[in-house]
Amino acid sequence: MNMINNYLDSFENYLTIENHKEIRDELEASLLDQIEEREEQLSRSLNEKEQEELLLKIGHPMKVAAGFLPNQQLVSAEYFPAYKKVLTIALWVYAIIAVLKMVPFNLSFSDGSFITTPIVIFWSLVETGIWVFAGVTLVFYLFQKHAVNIDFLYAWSPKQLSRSGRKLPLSRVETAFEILFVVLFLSWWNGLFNAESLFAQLTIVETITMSESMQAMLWPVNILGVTSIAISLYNFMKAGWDRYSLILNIVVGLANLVVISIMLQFDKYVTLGSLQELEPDVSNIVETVLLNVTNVRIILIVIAVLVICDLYSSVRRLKK
Amino acid sequence: MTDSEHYQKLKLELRRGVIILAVLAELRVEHYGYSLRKNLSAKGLEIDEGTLYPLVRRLEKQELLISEWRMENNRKKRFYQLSDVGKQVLDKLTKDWQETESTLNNILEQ
Repeated sequence: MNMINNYLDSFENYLTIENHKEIRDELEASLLDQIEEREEQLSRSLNEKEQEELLLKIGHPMKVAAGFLPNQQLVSAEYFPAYKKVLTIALWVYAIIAVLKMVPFNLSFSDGSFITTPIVIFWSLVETGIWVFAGVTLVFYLFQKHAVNIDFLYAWSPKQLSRSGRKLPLSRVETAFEILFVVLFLSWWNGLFNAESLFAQLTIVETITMSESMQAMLWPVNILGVTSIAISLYNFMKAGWDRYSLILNIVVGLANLVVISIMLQFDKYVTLGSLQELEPDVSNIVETVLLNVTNVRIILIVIAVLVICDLYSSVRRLKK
Repeated sequence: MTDSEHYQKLKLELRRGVIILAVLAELRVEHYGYSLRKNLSAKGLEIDEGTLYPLVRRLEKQELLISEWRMENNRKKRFYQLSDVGKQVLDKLTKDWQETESTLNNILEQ
């Protein structure tokens, strides 16, 4: 009967609750009754193989013990919808904060980290995601264990449902690229890129800085950029455009056009120090490319055209 | 998942509610664990230890059953039977079952 005792001992070890002795005694009584009945039929004791078959039929001791344990689910069906929603929101919030903190301070084209930085950011996001997942799951596990009432999360009224429930689909990949592009642009706009090496060969002592009139546009552009990111993130999470995000996008687009039109009237965009110290041919290149107002205006016009195209498609979506 | 696996899963779900009623009905007469299992098996309802014992403990916790340990044939056994509350619940569940059976028969015959 060693095998039977081993089975019962193993079964009892999995019972991490009170009354585990009592439960073991009950199963033992049942096992011994079955053995006794079988032995009466066979008129002999059960051999090892027959005992093994009997125990296999009952099942793995861990599985049998699990039936006696409370809280068999990490997050039960009752709590799962709220858990899933909270987890989704938490993961997005942490991911956005992490990216906004990391991207500007990690990107530096001077040391070739353009490839390694996204990898670092990706793994950092994975690590953060795991911690967020563990935290939210633990909270909901405790809610379930202590039968915390979360009915308030499901309280609703048909009147409160948004009129703009209908969404127009969008591509999440495109939206992700848009967000990344604006983040990169804002990083450059706020001088967070180290561009010294770009000019190292030109032996310029001071780096390029914005003119005073451009510096005055620093915060308007920042505000519009951040708003644009927020709209894109909102659409990304909802996987579609709705009426409100379209209207907001149109407003931001119009504001962008206003800012661009103001910028087009500037007569100077950048200031470059120590130009006189450069060799004549290098100085010529710098004047032609970097200090040429026309070039900057062309870029601004191109941006304006893109903004107009975006406005046009937003208006078309709104009409749908 | 194959059709057979789907069928087995659905069959299991169908049995789940039935087992509770069967156990309560069988415990109108006092039984210990193994005799309860044997009786149900003899009447066509197979149920393993991993299902039966947690179930009777749960029903006892819900005050539908009462139990006591007694010596029988030199072995300690736990005997179960319906409590007064258990009897009332059994009557109600029996009526519910009969109504459900009648409804289902109507649906299946169409």
